Amino acid sequence: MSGKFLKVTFFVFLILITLGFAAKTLEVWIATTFVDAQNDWLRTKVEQWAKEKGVTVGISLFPKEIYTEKIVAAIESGNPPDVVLQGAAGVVLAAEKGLLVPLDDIIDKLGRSDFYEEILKYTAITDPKTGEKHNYGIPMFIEPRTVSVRVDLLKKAGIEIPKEPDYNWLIKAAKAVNNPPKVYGLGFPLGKCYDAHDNIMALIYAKGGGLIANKGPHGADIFNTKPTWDALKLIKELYDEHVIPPDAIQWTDFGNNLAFMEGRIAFTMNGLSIYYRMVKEGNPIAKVDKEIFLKDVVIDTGLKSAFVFRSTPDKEKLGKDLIYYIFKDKEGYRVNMCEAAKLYGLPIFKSQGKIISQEWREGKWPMFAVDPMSATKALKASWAMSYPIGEPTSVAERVMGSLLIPEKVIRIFTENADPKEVAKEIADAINKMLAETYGK
Amino acid sequence: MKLSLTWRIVSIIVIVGLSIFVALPLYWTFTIAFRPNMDLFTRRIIPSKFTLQNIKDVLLSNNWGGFESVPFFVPLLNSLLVASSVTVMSLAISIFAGYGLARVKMQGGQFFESFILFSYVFPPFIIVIALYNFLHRIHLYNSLFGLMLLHLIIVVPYSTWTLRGYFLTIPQDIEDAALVDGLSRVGTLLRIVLPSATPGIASTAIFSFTLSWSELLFAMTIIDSYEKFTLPIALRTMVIGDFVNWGNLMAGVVISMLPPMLFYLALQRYVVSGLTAGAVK
Amino acid sequence: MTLQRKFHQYLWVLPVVILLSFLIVLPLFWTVWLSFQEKMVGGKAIFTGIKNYIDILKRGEFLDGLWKSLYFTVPSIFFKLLLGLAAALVLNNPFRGRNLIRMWLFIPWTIPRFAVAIMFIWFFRRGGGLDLLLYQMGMSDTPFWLGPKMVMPAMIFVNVWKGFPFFMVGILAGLQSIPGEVYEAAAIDGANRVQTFWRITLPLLRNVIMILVVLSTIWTFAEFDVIYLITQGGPGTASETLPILTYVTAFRLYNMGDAAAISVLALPIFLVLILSLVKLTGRR
Repeated sequence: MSGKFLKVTFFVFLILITLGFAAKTLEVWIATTFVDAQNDWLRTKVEQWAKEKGVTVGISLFPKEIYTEKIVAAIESGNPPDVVLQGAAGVVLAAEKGLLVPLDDIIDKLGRSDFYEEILKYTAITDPKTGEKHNYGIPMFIEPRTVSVRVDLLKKAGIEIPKEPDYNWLIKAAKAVNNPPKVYGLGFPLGKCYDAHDNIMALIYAKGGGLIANKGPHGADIFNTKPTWDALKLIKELYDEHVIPPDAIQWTDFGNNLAFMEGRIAFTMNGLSIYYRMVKEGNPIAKVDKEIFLKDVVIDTGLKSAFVFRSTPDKEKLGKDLIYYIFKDKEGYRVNMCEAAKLYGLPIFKSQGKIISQEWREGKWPMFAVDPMSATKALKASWAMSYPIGEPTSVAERVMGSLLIPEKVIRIFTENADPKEVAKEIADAINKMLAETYGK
Repeated sequence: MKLSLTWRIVSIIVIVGLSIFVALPLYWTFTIAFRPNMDLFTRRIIPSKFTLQNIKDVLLSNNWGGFESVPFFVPLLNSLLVASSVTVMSLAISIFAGYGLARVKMQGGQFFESFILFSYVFPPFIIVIALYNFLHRIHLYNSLFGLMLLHLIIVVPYSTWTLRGYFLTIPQDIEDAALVDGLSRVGTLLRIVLPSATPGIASTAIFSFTLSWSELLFAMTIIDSYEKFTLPIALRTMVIGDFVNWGNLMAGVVISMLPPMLFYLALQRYVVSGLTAGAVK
Repeated sequence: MTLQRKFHQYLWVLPVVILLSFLIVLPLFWTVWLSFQEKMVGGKAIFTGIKNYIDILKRGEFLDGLWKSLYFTVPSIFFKLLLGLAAALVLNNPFRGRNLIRMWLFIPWTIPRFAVAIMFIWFFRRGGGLDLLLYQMGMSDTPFWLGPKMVMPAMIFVNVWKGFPFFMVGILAGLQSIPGEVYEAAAIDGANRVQTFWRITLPLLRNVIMILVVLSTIWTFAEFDVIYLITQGGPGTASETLPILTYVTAFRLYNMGDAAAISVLALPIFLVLILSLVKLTGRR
């Protein structure tokens, strides 16, 4: 009796294990942003397309925090989805491993000349086998880091926003309105977060420095040069003078946002997400917030792209068609991906950018003290694209993803480490990654 | 022994101190969940007023995660489904294994015990990619059943180990009598042992439930579609990079901590005798 | 016949053993294999012998992570034991409201880890729960709880908060299994409470406490969710314990080979703890 009972239990279990469903569908992942309108529009588009073409699709949506783990596991295990929309991490990694389908023909079909040139650089990745550059993805939108400015505080201090503000002006103004501990001048995130990476890099770029110059094993030597040292020293000074709030070293990605929303800082460089959120929550600070770009450097926080994984010719064709279908509707794209997001994302098409500029002149986007599309003029880097190499690399993506830079830089503030030493450490670590990835 | 005055004073200090220690984070969690969001910007400790708005927002809106999805009920129900199925499945095999290890003399028994103990404490993140692969192979990726399977590797070693310990604490005489009377081992287990092992089984069940209920890493890697989200992923989704709506988030926290808490408190009598007798023996 | 009988014995544990072999042991072997390969996410595995091990040891990140893990685990266990013991000793005496207090103190143990993490993100953040309380008490100059200096104590705080009830109920069960006659005998000998505690209670509790300590050490050493959700290992690498280091290496640095090597290096620590647990709980 005992044997029988256990055997039955065991076989029931085995059957349950092997029970799987092998439905063949086009798997579409949408990495969500915090803007509902973007996510919902994309999903509707995918559904419409599926209905029109009679294709079964499996749509999955999840936020970027979960998405990164997922895409890594999917690539590593060889079970990637067919199409990814708004995916940031993974596009370069997958392309460098030869896992993605080039989308050059889709870009031509959409009108190559209508794209902002800088934008196409985001996803123009060198094929490791042929050495040719192809666009393995289409960036979903431009996601420039703006500087949020408390104009009420500026007014009190008698400062005006110049036509083309730059870093020097920003730092001067931040010092002028600095009134700790009530209000700190500059909300410069320094914790272990992406915002810190972008803020530090923006300043280094503005000083004329760089991150990766080439794919050689000394490609990151450029990081260990005077501009980096100067930038790090400047941050240290501002931190010691309490222009940067002392708690900035423990901010995570929403640290500076909350500080701004609570009125504790006068300036901070971030995505437009702060403004978007304040309007949504009815925060009174939204009324005294203006957004500007610094003319020295604009960093794209994203690289959220659409890309298609290699699979069968049929599925690849479908995947490409889906992406074409989404971007073809340029009008709908502008309204839902950009305008509905309060311009947190700017259009990748010049034709739509012109409309945005026109709307700004007509006063539709009062939070911008400058023409929002002027961001395209100073774009320097994005998630995986570093300067001066000007092309995305999986090494830059790893540097960003692992938060190497903020992780090391923090020692300047907590242990009084020498900025030069820190810069060297970072450059060495990146050089090692370069050698690992691209050989000697 | 009569309680001395010093002892009483020390006792009171310990109790009050620990109670406050436990209360601090809980106080915030509950008050933030039930107060208006704007309160937090004014440095108030005492809520300005009581509101169910956050709970309502979370439970009824389809938009707790930053995109139109499903009501929060769905992850709640998924979690209930997964955790209770895992508990039942795991008990079904661990009762036998636990009893076998405690009572049946088998060669290499100690090896099996060590093996199960090893699995019990093995940190699962080490093998998460391998498991991800495996689930794809057997077509259980992005399915709640696949998730249950992975949860079993966390829950089964625990419950086998605890039940083994618990069975060891039950006096053997009655079982021996039953065996002499001609009842088989399985018969003895089902008719004689199980009824008297209720506290042990109940507490094992509760803890198994909690283990599955709290599991984040596996769920995060193998579940894709939001209609299959469990609570941990749902809450992870609510901490969206840039922003946290503390009111909604804490409402989510309150919702997700209530079921296990209520289970524990309702079956407290069993828990103390069962959980520890098992784990400690 | 005897062979069949022998096989029948193993049927008791067979389902469990098969399940765990497939889902834990096989992946584990795979991990060990991987640790000898140079393997980036999506790339091909190239056998490189012990290069990964040499690399991570040379870069010092393993030892650094190990140190942080110890710094996190040892004080956590100490305070959990201390608070658990204190609570258990008090709760072992009958008084009015005892059950209520016991229930209240048990609550942290019942809360899922991810929920605990979110609670403490709020509690420790700048201007969050703890700061607001201190501010109302007149302290406006508080340290950064999640800054480089305080982050580990803060994580230990969370771990102790969540984990001390386990010690409490474990020790309480141990105390209740001590027969009353033992105390009576001690009382007749004229021992006072403190003496009884050191000479009788503690030795009798020794085994229970050892088991609780070892079990909890293993869990604490492997703690991932809470630290990762609150700090991601930051600021800098201030709270990057071994589990987090492994995770970051695999999922953020895309280096599967190194990640596997780190886990394999951590394995002996777990094995030693597990073996001592087997020994402590051994019945034969």
